[in-house]
Amino acid sequence: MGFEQIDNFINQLLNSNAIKNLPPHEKEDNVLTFLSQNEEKLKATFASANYLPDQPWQNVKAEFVTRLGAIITEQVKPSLNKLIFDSLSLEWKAKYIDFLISDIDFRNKLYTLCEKLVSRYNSRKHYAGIINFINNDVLPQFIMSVYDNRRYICNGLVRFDDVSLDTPELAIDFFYTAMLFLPLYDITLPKKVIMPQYNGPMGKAVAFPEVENNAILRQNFIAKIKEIILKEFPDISPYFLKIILKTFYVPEEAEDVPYCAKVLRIIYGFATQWRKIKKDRGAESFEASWFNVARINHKFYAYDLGTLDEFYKITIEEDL
Amino acid sequence: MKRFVDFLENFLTVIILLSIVQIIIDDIAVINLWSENFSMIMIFCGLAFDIIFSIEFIIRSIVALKNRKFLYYFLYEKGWIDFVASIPLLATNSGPLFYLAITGKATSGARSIVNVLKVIKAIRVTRILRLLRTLKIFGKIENIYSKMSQHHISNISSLVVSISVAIYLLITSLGFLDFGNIQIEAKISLAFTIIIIVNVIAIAFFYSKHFAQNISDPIYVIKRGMIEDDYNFAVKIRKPYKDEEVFELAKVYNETWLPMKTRIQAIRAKKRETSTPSNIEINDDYSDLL
Repeated sequence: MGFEQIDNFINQLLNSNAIKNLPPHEKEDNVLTFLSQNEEKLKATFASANYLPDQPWQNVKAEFVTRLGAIITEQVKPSLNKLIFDSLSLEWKAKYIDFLISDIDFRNKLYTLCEKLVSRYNSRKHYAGIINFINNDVLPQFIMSVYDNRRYICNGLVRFDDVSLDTPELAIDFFYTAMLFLPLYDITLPKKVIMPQYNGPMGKAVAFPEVENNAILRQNFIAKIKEIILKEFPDISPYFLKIILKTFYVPEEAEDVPYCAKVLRIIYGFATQWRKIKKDRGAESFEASWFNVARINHKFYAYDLGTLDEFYKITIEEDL
Repeated sequence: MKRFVDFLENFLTVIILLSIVQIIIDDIAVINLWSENFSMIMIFCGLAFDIIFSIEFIIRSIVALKNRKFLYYFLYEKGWIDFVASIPLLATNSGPLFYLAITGKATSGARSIVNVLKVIKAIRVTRILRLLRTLKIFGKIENIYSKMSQHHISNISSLVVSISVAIYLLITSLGFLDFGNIQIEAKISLAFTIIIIVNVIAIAFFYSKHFAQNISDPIYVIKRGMIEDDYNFAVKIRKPYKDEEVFELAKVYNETWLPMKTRIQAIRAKKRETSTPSNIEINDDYSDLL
């Protein structure tokens, strides 16, 4: 007897009324929480004759998590495909004279990269969040207001950045595209790769948040990300690459960071946490609450305060 | 059992509403000199309502006594309204009126007899206590969002209605509203009834909204933010009231507590290898990208 019972079980859970309408990443987290909270009951169920009596629970659990990931990946992929090949406009690319790759090549390579990343839990979670954010048209409301008001953010994007994103449409598609690169920061790297002098266990891997506060390890990690991007996109614009590599800057580097990267960091943080939630009674909207908290915590997250202030003002003025 | 109790509560709510309608129709009947038969129907209805509410008060008192919570019921669960709007009315209003009716002394012919008229007038004074029943409605409406709103709105209404009824009782018993014409007195009574009902409706709709927006809702958001891990909404601070204690508390919550909570959450998330539940291991291998 194979593991197809696990697939059936997962599909039943995913199609249950409580979660069937949630975005894929929220469905996955709900099922994982269900698995975590009901482990003992599930262990007994899967040990019964109708399921997998011969398999040890650890194997069943590992298979469950893997199969769930595979199912959710298949749910995210079509949306990614549609976004990259049908929805995303690459007009902003014309602004970069050194972007020597054709639109179709860029789309194909971007999809290949996303497809590789999306099969991993953390990246999948971020991609699903980004897609959910894009499909709900959250960003255009903010960017349109930014360009209507012509205040701090608009000046930053149009006048003070090396590449002038002079219309809101260009800016929106630029940020959508750039966000699709950022789940690259979810990768884990063998310690040996970023610490050449490391002599510990070979299997040990580190994630970006673990090295963020160590200047040398951080640089090595980012250098590896740069290498991966250049391997996939040899003709990428150096300035665009710089934006991607500078997005997760530390406060000391702030002056040397392109303004686009500063805005991108805020938008990415907002997009990956964004949830479609009805305004609660007596509370600010999700958007206003998020920007209000981010404003106060700007030093902690190394966010640009002026940008956050303006986004927060927009949530109040536009009642977003 | 719960279904039966729900049925009884719904039944009582309908009876309260009908009894308020009866108060209004009773005055209209007097003003327009409707038929004696109609007056009799009003007397019987009044008696029936008073008996039902008296039984309700007695049963609730017995249950409260049994649970040793009579004082709590009487003082804090508006038991005193249940009492004032039932037994005293049965003893001084509908009971005597019913007696006059069945003995044939409450008819229009009898009303012309001066001493009977005086009795009826004295009886009419106490009927205003029935308006306290409008307050019973508040007990029936369960505010699922805020117990505090329900409690405070009900208290404000009790104060307004009780004071108004007490003043009306006082000025009527002192003879200030004694015009020697039962129709004029009924008009005044009807106007007073309408004022009370409009007051109660205004408190229920307008003041309760004001109370919710400025007191209970901000506290509700702060409470959820403090208790629930994934509830990170800021309180909407209403500018005209920003200097009030609730909004000052909300400001501290928005600007200190909530940012600190999200920082702690971020640090915890950073510490975890993955953000999946702790007893589930996910080892994503990225070696194919290297």
